[in-house]
This record gives sequence, C-alpha cells and structure tokens, in this order.
Amino acid sequence: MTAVLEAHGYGKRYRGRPWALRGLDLAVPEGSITALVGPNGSGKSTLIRGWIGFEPPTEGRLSIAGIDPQRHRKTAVMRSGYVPQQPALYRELTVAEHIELAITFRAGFDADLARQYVERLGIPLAAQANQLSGGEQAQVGLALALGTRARILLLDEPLASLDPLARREFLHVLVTAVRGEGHTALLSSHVITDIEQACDRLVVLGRGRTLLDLSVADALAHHRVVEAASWEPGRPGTVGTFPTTTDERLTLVRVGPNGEGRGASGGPAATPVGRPATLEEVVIGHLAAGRRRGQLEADEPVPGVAS
Amino acid sequence: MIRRIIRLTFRMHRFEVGAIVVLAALLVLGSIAVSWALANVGLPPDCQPSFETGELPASCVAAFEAFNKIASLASPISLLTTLFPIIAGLLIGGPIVAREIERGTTSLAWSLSPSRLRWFLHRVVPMVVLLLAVSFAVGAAADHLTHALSPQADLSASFIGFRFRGVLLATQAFLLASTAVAVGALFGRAVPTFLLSLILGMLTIVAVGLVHRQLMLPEAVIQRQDGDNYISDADLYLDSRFELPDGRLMTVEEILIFDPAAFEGEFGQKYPSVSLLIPGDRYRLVEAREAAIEVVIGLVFLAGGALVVTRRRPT
Repeated sequence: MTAVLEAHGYGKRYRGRPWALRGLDLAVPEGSITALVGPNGSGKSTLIRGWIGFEPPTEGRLSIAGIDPQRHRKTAVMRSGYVPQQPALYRELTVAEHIELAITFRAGFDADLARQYVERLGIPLAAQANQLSGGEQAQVGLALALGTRARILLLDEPLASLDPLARREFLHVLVTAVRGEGHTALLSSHVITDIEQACDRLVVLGRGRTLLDLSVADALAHHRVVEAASWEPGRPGTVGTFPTTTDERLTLVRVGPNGEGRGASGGPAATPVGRPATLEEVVIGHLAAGRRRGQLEADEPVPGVAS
Repeated sequence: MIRRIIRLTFRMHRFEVGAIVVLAALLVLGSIAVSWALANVGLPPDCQPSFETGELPASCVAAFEAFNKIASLASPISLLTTLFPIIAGLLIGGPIVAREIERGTTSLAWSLSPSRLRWFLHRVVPMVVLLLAVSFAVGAAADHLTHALSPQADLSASFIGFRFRGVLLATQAFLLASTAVAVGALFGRAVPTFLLSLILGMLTIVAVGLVHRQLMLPEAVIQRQDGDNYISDADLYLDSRFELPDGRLMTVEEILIFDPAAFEGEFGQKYPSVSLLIPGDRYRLVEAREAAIEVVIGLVFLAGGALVVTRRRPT
C-alpha cells in the first residue's frame, strides 16, 4: 500500500487555544476514498488545510504525494484539488467565468472536463454564482477541483449544507471521477450514511487524535452492538456506550472476524455477541469512547485500530 | 490570456470600477465644461481690481462678474477632485485582498493557483493600472480647470493648485490604494481596511509633504519681506526666517538663544524677516520628485501586501 497523504506526529495549536490536533499519525492509501469523521473542532479541516499548505504544523509533519506541503507549497497545490467547507465562489462571476479564472491560475487546468461535469449536473454555465443553490455551488467547486486533474482530492465537509438529493449527486460525481481515474480522495463529513456508500476507508478523529482508522468493510466486520444493560462495563472488547433515540443505551464492542466477542477473561467467546453494528454506530461508539476517556486505549490490538 | 485576466478582474470588482470611472468622467466633463464656459466669457487680461481703489475698470465689470459666477461652479468640482485620490484609492485598493479573504474566495483561488504571487498580480495590476489611468485623466482635467481659473498663469512654472492637480493626484491615489492593499492583506476584513487605510494613507501623504518640504529648504530662494516684494502665487512658500547681519538665517527660537535681548529694541530692523520660497519655474522638478517618492512608498506597500499574501492563511 502506498500512502499519498501522511501525518507523522502532526500537531496544530492555534494561538491562545488548546491543541486542535496532537501527535497524529495517519496514512491515506493511494486510490482510496477515505472518509474523515469527527465532531466539530476535532481538527478535520485543520488537517485537510495542512495538506494543501494552508496551515503550518505546530509540531510533526505532513506529506502529500511524498512532499512537505509547507516547504513545497506550490507542488502541494499542483498535486491536489481542494473543495473548501463553505462554497467559496466569486458571487460576481458566472460558472463559465470561474472555469476561465481557473485557466488563468493554473497551467494545465482542464476546462473542458470542468465544463462537462457542470453541464452533466444541469448547472447553467451562464448562471451567476450568487444565483446558485448551496448544492450547485458545491458542485461547481467539485467540478473545478476535478478540472485540475490532480490525483489527490481534498474535500472539506462539502456535503454539510446540501440536501439529500444534492448530496447523492455530489457523491456520484465524486465516486465516478475518482474510481474512473484512479485518484485518491479524502472527504470529511458528518453524514455517515453517505460515507458508507461512497468511501472505502474510515478515519475517526476525536480529542485531537485518531480514534479509528480502518477500511469500511473491516469497521463493519469488527464491531457489533449490544444492549448496554446486558454488557459488563470494562469487559474486553468494549469500545463505548451511547444512547439511542428511544432511551435505549447501546455498547459498541470490538469482535473477531466472525462476530465473536471476548469472554470475561479476554479469551474468545463461543458465540457472536449482539447484532452487527451500522457504520454510524461504529463512529458514534468510538466518538463516545473518545469523549469519555480522552482517547481510546485499546485493551487488545485489532488490526487497523489506532491505539 | 492578459485580456481574460483583466476582464475577470474588472468583473469581480465591477462596482468599484464603475464607481470610479463614473466619478472620474463626471469630474473630467465638469472641468471641461466649466473651463470652456470661463474661456467664453472673454475676460480681458488687464481686468484686475485697482491696487489703490479696489475697483474694476468700468469696461469689464460685467465680464468679471460673469467670470466669477461661472468660477463658483468650479468649487464643488475642485473639492471632489481633491477628494478623488482618497475615494478612488480606497475603493480600488481596499477590496482587492481584504474582501477576498473576508468572503473566503481565497480558499478557492489559492487552492487553484500554485503561485499566490501570480494571483496577487492578477488582482492588483489591472486595478492599479485603471486607477492610474483615471486619476491621470482627473489630474489633467484639474490642470485644465486651474488654467481656466488663472488664465495668466503658466501652470508648468507655477505652484498654483500644487498637490491638487496633475500627476500628483494619480500618485496620491496610487499610494492610498497600495496602503489599502497592504492593510487588507494583513487584516482580511473590508471595513477595518477602509478605516485603517484612510488613516495610514493620509498620514503617509502628509508625512511625504512634510519630509519633502524639509528636503526643499536647502534649495529655497530667500526673499526679503519688505514693501517692494510680495510672494507670487506661482512660488511655493516654505517657511520664514530672520536674517542676521552676517547673512545667517535663524528661527525666532534660535535668535533668542543667540541674542536673549533680541526683543529689546527694534527686532524687525535688527533681524529682518525673510521668506523661503521655491520659485515657480521649479514646479515640474518638485512635482516629479514628490510623485516619485509617493510611487516608491506605494510600491513598498504593494510588496509588503504581496509578502503577507504569500505567507498568510486563507479564511
């Protein structure tokens, strides 16, 4: 596995504020679509902006396609396409003029490709940016990022303000483009259901650190949920307990490949425990654990789970 | 490509571009119209009030009154012309960087453009060139109007309207715009940028004037202030001094140290007052030097703004 986005002991602290991220080690494999999930303030945007050279690290280092984005910011920008959190279009310009603008900024910008994506979504090229909906603006931002033909796409919560249909269209364009071209994408988002469909890897950030770093398939295979009342707290494999919307409390449990939990002594239990966890439950369980204990301390190693 | 860059930049700043072009056009047209009307009055060159009686020759009273009536229309034009470098400089320079950072468009632009310096030049150069072009036009119109108001004066050899006409209007506008670009890059907020740039830009222009005045003092011509001499409108008055019998010039404070009893007796006879002037025929040189100082400071501000842009984070 070749990692194209790496963090080595990365830490970022803004003046007069606590650490946004600290001691972060992360590797995003080439060709993957990785979801970056975490609560507000967990450092998702900071990390993404760090990879494009917008945020210098306070400690540690980042690399994008093998280069340090702070030392070689121009190369980092050339190797990445970025969609910011808020639609950042020029309200005075039309969609077509944004594409023209990208041509003036960047040698090799594929204007035809960007136009194709925009037209495919039915967004008029002559429309002024301030007349577009939030979803359309995000789509234009994605089309511009894809027009760069960069092999690495960094998407900073582009789905946050979109309605379900717009989210689906956005992800369809993203997945088609990334899979078709063999690109790598890092997508930060709160919307877990969309991530499940679009992403093949999941990174959960919390308390300034990595709480989980697994493929989506492994995350689903290695976690189950049980009713909290029936689960002894502190039992090996326990990740975290969280409430449901029906006053029920569930506990996320790490399990083996066949769903088997651990016995009280730590040895394998005979039967699978609870029921399979949804991806949302996996994320929430780890976030709850991270919130409760500062950071998850793995009581036994599970492949891919950061300790 | 250059035409595309210019077109897109003007589209992004179409309000500012439209506002200063319209204001400049109004000032130029107003100046031309008033100048034309003044020239058509046909005021004879010798139609001046008598030194003794203050009365006009009877033959030109009507023309003189007509001239003054039209000249009064020039006052609002002159006032707006004086304010033009401030309005245009801030309007052009303020939004270039500050508004982009404030609105977050720098996130898009700086992620597309590997070179932030290129982005900066794409934004700044077309706007500054436009500003200089319209400011030169307004400055030339102000020259035209000043000449119409003082038809006897040779404006290429006269300090009449110094700093409020000609090339200095353009360089003042450039200096204010550059200040606003630098302040905007630093603060990234439009309203504070306008306010701080107004203060900093005006202080810089005033400081340039004061420093230039000090630089001109050694070049000044000394003119005794007695009944036969008067300061011509064409000359630039810098300061007054008192002349010692040996020819040295001193301020009143220096004289009091030199001669504590100076005010006992006829001070004016012992130490006649003299004026320090720059003769009108040196106008072009003084104007060019002050313009050069303002341009250099403006370029320093722009370079500072570019440096900040290459180092700062977008919003």
